[in-house]
Amino acid sequence: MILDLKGQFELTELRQKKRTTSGAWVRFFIGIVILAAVVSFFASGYSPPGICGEVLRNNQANDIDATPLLYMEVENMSALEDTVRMMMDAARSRADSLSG
Amino acid sequence: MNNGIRSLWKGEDWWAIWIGFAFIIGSLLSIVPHVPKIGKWTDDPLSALMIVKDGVATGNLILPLILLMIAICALTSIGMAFMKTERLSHYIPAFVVVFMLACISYWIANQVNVSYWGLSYALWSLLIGLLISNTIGTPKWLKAGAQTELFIKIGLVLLGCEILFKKIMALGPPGLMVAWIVTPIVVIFMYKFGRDVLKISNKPLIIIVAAATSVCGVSAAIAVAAACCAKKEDLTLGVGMTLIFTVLMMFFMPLGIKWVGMNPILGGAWMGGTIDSTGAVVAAGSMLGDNAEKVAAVVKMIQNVLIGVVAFVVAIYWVTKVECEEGAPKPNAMEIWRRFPKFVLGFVAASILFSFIVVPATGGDFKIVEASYIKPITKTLRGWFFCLAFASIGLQSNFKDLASRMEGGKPMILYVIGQSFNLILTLLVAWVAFLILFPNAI
Repeated sequence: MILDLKGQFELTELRQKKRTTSGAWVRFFIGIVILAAVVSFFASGYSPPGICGEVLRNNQANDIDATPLLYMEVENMSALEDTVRMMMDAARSRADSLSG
Repeated sequence: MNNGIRSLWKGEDWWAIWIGFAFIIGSLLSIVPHVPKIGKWTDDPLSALMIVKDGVATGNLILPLILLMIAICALTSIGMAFMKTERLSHYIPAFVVVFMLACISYWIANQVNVSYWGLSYALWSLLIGLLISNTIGTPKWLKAGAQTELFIKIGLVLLGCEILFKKIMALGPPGLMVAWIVTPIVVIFMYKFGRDVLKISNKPLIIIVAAATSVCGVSAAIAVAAACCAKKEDLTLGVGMTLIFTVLMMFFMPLGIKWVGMNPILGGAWMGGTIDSTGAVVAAGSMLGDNAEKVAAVVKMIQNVLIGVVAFVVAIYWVTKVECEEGAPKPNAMEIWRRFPKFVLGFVAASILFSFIVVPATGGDFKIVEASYIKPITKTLRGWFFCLAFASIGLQSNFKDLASRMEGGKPMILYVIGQSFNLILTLLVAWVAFLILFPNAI
């Protein structure tokens, strides 16, 4: 009798564990579907209407990658630096000619 | 003393330095000629795996990616074998899976339309890891490959190569004022505000949020988290907040600047000093015109250089002040050295090597160094290590722990108040620097 009860208890525990595991896998697959939907939304090229999407449309029009975390990851950083240097030189010679 | 010497081959910090410098020296000696990275793609997902030269596909990336995985796995395995932190028979198969998750994250982030939104690999790798750990749970065997701290530390040593000190004068005194005066003030203000006013008990989280807000978002958060030995969950929270607010600021700050009719140079400098990630700064700056975009990007670049200084100061402050119990005697030099996160030395050494030896050796030409060593090798490798680290963090985090660290939303309040202070102070200093003190600088 005791053995039988123990067996039944183990069986229930096993079933519960199986249910939890299958529940976890269901949650995982739902998560995958949601993640795929989110990625598809951002990858679709959609931009919010009005001023909210203005920056995004500018990025699309000028092919600006907004993901770089640091300056070295920006593709045209050297060109940006060069232009700033030229702007500074031009400003300096402008100031010199005015004072001269 | 024996322990000190033993840590050279037993300590994770030292192994981060050895592995990081193995890659750096390999790049300088041209032993590592190129590190593959997942390409950009629009409609055809497989095109991300193509090697494209001059617009023509010349091969695919599968073999180079496998070789990269083997190289990283081999070097980290040597470290693991010495440190005896994980059995190699457990680590190697788990690492392969973590590397694949990193590849998927890069692949998503490199979709062209996704990249326009500013959603980087850090976000996707975190999300994928979190999805696994919070649904089916990260299997025990996979946890062996999620070596977050080691990946972060190696990535930071490699990041040192990108921190070139001579770049700080790229915009002259006004650029330096905006990037280097405001940033330390905001870090200190946020740390004190979080600790003394909001009474946030988790000090590492405060300093991570402060560094992410005032220096440069995700990269600063990683560097500071490692310097103060923060928990993974703290880094996840800090990075999560900065990623969300960066996108919001990128979308709305240029619109506000245009709406009030602000001087574009001032607007560019303001955004460069406040928006967290460089990509978002460039995107937002571009909305104000060509000149504003350039000024914004260069101000951010000057601020990026501060990562090294901030990480070093935080590491020192943590071992001398924060980790000491109240009333305890001041730790002596040996104790400070014992507690100091040694990988920071590797980070600083890499920065000094590139700033004062490698760049001058090429006649002071940054472009040669960037094009030959940094962009194709150390920068790409650093990205891979950070991506592996974020996937690992996701695999080891669960939402319950994250929620318990929110302390009723206090870190969020800290971010909002700190960023507001940052916005006001940066605008003030940028206005004084660019329009009052140096009106003819640019």
